[in-house]
Amino acid sequence: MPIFKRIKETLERVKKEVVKRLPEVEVIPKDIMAQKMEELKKKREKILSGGGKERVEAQHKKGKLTARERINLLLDEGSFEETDIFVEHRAKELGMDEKELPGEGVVTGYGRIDGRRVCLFAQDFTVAGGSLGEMHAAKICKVMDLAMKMGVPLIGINDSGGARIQEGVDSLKGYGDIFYRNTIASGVIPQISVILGPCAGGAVYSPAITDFTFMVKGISKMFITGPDVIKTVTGESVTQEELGGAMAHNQLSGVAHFACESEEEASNLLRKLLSYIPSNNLEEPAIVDLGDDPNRMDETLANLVPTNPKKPYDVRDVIEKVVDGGEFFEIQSYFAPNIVIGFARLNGYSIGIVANQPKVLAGVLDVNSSDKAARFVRFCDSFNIPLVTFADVPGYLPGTEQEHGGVIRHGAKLLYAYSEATVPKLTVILRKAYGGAYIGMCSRHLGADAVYAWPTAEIAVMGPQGAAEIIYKKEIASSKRPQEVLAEKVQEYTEKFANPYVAARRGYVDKVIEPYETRPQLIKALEMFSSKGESRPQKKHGNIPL
Amino acid sequence: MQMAGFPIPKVPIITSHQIIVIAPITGVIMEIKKKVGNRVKAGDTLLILEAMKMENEIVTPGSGVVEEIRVKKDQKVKTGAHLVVITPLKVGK
Repeated sequence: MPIFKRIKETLERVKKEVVKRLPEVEVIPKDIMAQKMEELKKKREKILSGGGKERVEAQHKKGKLTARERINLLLDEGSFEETDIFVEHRAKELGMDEKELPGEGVVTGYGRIDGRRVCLFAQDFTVAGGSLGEMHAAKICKVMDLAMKMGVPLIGINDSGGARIQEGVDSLKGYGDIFYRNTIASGVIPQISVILGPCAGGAVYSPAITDFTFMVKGISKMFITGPDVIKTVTGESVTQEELGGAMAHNQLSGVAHFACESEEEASNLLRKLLSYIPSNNLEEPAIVDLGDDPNRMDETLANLVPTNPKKPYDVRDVIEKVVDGGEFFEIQSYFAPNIVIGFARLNGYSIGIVANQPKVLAGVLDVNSSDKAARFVRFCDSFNIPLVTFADVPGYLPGTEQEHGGVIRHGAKLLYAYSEATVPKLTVILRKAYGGAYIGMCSRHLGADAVYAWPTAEIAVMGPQGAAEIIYKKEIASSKRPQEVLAEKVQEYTEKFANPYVAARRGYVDKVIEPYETRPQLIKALEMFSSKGESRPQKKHGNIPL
Repeated sequence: MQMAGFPIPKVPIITSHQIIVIAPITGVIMEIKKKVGNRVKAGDTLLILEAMKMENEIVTPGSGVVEEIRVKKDQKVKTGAHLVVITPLKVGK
């Protein structure tokens, strides 16, 4: 059958011809695919190893973790999804064209904390000292935008030498882009900064805009200008730790909110903090049942506050006896300790607590305590967390230092913040509530929804002694026995005015309660006001006295 | 009056060889609770400073031995005044 043979031959020829003409039709040999996979694997490995073995070791020697180790410590296991690992800088000047910076010195992405989504970035000190360049900032901005789109908290782990000088104004642009996003996101999503290394110069302003800042003793440093510049300019010598360490900013400047002993402690506290706050301003905080009876009455409360108004006590003892499980999560405990702020729960509901601390500086309001409380009140209001205020305050602190330090404008912040807040506002007056400070501690007049007073409360313009001295000045002076007259008048004033009933008669105090009734009373009020709706006039924003 | 730019210290001055406990607020010394030579633990009350209608307890931030008491009963003190000097105990002692 020659015809078949010929056809077969022709087909073979055509087939050969086609293959010759169209070599690309050829199937890719398996070894090329493997090659490409290998290439990807190598690239990834290189980037994921950060600044390399030596630099990672140097980081560990300083007692610091690497960026990725920090993320793994903070997030739920295996939940981290890294973004933008292949991003590279595009700087050409000053030798930058030859520099390869794995991951651009920052690890970005998202993951979960207690099952809740968060976006985060962690600067990688092992790569070019975590310096911030154009693309480093672009990576950060991308996760910030993601956090805003999704309505999830943003966590920034800072460990950076500062601006990448070689990138000049592009680096500054990067900082500006971050500050801008921090500001726009403020009050929309919670923003938390963790300082785990240097954070100097302009870089400090991102944490400053965010809601909470964590620092670790011996590791964290924050300052605008470092010790060397200070030495040159003012002649002062100061160490980095004294100038901008964890305690400097927790105790003296009020820049930071938590001073931790270790990175692990910072991670744990951050996770705890998040449990009290919602993911964005449209959500409510989660309700967590700690199994504490809402009707629990603690008889010992009555003995906690000394009836002698001159005797100090620790207001945190009162708070712990009232809230669920005695769990009070204090914030900024070292700064302005004459006022106490923090989160707790009442029948599972997250609440923000503000309380005067009679144990420190008699619990006065001053520049720093007003600032501290006002910013906390605004945070709670932004994120739908009801406010509970415990008042025991003798007044504003007198003195030239306070007056010239601006106690008028700083004190005004607290009044402003309370008045502006539309979340449920509950107030308990424990003992002293004198003068302007009475008004300032979330009185009925600033819009408190419920005001309760203990029988020990003294709500008046000032203390009995001072009031008697002023009102009966002439009588006392003209008397033959001035001390006795003064004592009489003090007694008279105390009986008439230093009590909660004058205010209660006018409805400024809703109810005078036994101390042990505080918990059930607050829970009842909280449930009552949970559906509170209060609107404010349309405006761009108010003009809080900053 | 303090000069601008030199804030009055509000917290104890702690160095490796001494702790200086200062007056956190202007007031009157009501009572001195410790004597020179007494051993004190962190948190112990050293003296009572009456200010802002309150008998404020002034405590030591660290443990050690009272080396010097720089104020007397009924003395008026200003914010930042040095009240008590304490020699800290070496760690491990």
